[in-house]
Amino acid sequence: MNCDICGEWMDEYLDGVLPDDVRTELESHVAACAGCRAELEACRRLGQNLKQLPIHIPPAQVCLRVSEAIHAETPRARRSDFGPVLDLDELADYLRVDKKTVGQYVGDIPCFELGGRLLFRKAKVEEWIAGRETVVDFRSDWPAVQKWNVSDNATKGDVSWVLAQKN
Amino acid sequence: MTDMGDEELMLQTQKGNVHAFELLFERYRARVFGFILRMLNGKRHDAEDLMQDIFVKLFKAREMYEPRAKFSTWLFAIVRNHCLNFVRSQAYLQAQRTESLDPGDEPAAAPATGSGRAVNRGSDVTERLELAIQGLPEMYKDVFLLRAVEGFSHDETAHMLGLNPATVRTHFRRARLMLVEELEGRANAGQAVEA
Repeated sequence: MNCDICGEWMDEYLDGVLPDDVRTELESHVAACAGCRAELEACRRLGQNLKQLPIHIPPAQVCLRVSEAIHAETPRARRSDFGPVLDLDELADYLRVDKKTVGQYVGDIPCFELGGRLLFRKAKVEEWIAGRETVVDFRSDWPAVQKWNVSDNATKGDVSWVLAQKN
Repeated sequence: MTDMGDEELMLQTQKGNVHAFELLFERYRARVFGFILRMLNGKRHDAEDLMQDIFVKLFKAREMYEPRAKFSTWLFAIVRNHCLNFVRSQAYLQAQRTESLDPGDEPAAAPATGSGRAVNRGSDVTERLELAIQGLPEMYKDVFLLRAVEGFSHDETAHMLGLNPATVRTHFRRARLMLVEELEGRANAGQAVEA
């Protein structure tokens, strides 16, 4: 073993992870080489100093910001329980569309403003839906129908559920 | 869930469990913050912003994690790449130049904790060691931080940095000799650092 190789294996020697044959060879070299002995001692002292390095804890507001950002990235589960009055988010969940879609129908869907917020009476929304309902004829030659696969967990109201009833 | 391994928590995260990722964040936040802080030469505000940025990106990229990989090596490889991109960015270099003209700005190196004050303030050696690590050449610093401070093996460090393990050993030894020389003087550094 030469001095370069000895120096490169020193930290693993101090960690006690060297194979027996390499460890023995390193110890023999260090016993005979004053330079490597000095380097090994310096390596040991540095290791002791490294253990004294401070642990840096990030400020609480950073942790909070990370947590908020992660939650903002997570798709929110749709609500299923609604009171008699819905806000815009609840209406989107109720109609099972996104808020942007709801926004396209604001002015058409009956609503009222309170405290700077648009609110919707569920009963009026249901009336609005009833006024738009129509019987859809799912003919087999309708191209869109070809794309639908009836899933086992189709729920009443889904197009796939309607198709399942017809089959 | 707290007794789950890192890899299992990451799999749970991939299934949409946000709490699993929060546990991972809790486990690694101090190590990652310390690593970023040292890579950024003690610039706290930048380190805080980068820390937030990295963890949010990690969460967004959770599908990229391969369960075969050790989570900590995956994490630190990403953290290190973000740090390098940041310190090489034009905005950062510009800020460095401005700061060098205005020494009254944030100190370039300040061992600090969450409270903004240094632990072991009386330990002159510890503060000098922090500064000496920050002063290492980029590649030596990466290797030294991952190997000696974060405790990764030479092989893991090599894998994270895309280097040969033999190269990592050489870099690590040179970094160590530079630090000893900085702290104790050339006489005690053992052998001289070869160029």
